[in-house]
Amino acid sequence: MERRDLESELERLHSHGYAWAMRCCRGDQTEAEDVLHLAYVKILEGKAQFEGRSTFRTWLFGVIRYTAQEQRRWQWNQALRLGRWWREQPAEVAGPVESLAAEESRTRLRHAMGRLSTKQGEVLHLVFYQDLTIQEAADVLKMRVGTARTHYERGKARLRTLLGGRGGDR
Amino acid sequence: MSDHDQDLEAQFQQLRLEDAARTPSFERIRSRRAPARRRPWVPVLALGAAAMAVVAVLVTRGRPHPVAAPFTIAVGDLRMPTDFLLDVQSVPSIGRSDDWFPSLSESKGNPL
Repeated sequence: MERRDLESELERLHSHGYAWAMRCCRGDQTEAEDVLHLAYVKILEGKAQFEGRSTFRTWLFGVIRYTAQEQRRWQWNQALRLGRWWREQPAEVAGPVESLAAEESRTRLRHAMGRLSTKQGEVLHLVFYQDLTIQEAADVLKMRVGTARTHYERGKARLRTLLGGRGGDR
Repeated sequence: MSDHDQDLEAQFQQLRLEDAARTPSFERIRSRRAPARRRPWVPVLALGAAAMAVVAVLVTRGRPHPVAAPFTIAVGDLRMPTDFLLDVQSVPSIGRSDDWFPSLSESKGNPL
C-alpha cells in the first residue's frame, strides 16, 4: 500500500484504533496515545507491513496490541513506574454523582469491563465494541477460535452478573 | 452475538458514542512526540547492586566471629611472690665454713 493510502486508512479507523489502544492500555490515556503513535509510526515507516492476510482493521489491531505489549515491557523495566502506577490507579468508587441514567449505565459498563479478566475484556471489546466476529477477535489476539469463544461466553456471563442483569450464560 | 445480546450491544453503542467525542484527532496522535525510550540498564544496575548487597550480608553473617585471643602471659613477665628467694646474692656461698662453724680461736676447749 502507498503511504497516502495507509494514512487515509489509519485516519478512517482512527477512533476504533484509539478505543482499542485504550483497552490494551487498561484505560491509561497517555499510554494509549503513546502506543497508537508508535503503531502509526511503525506502519507509516514500513516496519510493520500489511500483507493482506486479514482485513486491514484486524491487522491494525494486532499491531496496536503488539505495540502495547512492547511498551508495557519497557514500563516494567522502570522502577519509578511503580509509583506512578500506584498514583494513577482509578478509584474504586465512581466519580462525581451522575444524574443521567445513561451516564450511570456507561460508567457501570466501564467498571464492569475493567473487572473482567484481560482476555475476556479484550474479546468482549473486540466483539461488542469493535463489531468484530469471534474469528477476527481470535486473529487479533493470536489465539484459537475455540479459546476466544470460551473467553467470550464466560466474559459475557460475568459481565451480565457484574451489571446486575439477568445473569447466566447465553 | 445473538439476539439475546441486544441489551449489551446497545450499552456498548452508547459507550462508543461517548468515546468518539473524546478521541483525540488523528493528526494529533500521528504528530505526537515519540515517547522517550526508557533506559533498560537502570533496573539492571539496581538489581545488580541489590544482589551484591545481599551477597555481602550473607558472607558477613556466614563468617565465624573472631574469637578473642586467650589471656597469655609471657614467661619473662611473670612475677611470683617468692621471686626474691631466687635472688642469688642472698644464697650462702659454698665452700666457706666460716659461716657455719665458729673459728678455732673463739672455741678453745672444744674438742672439734
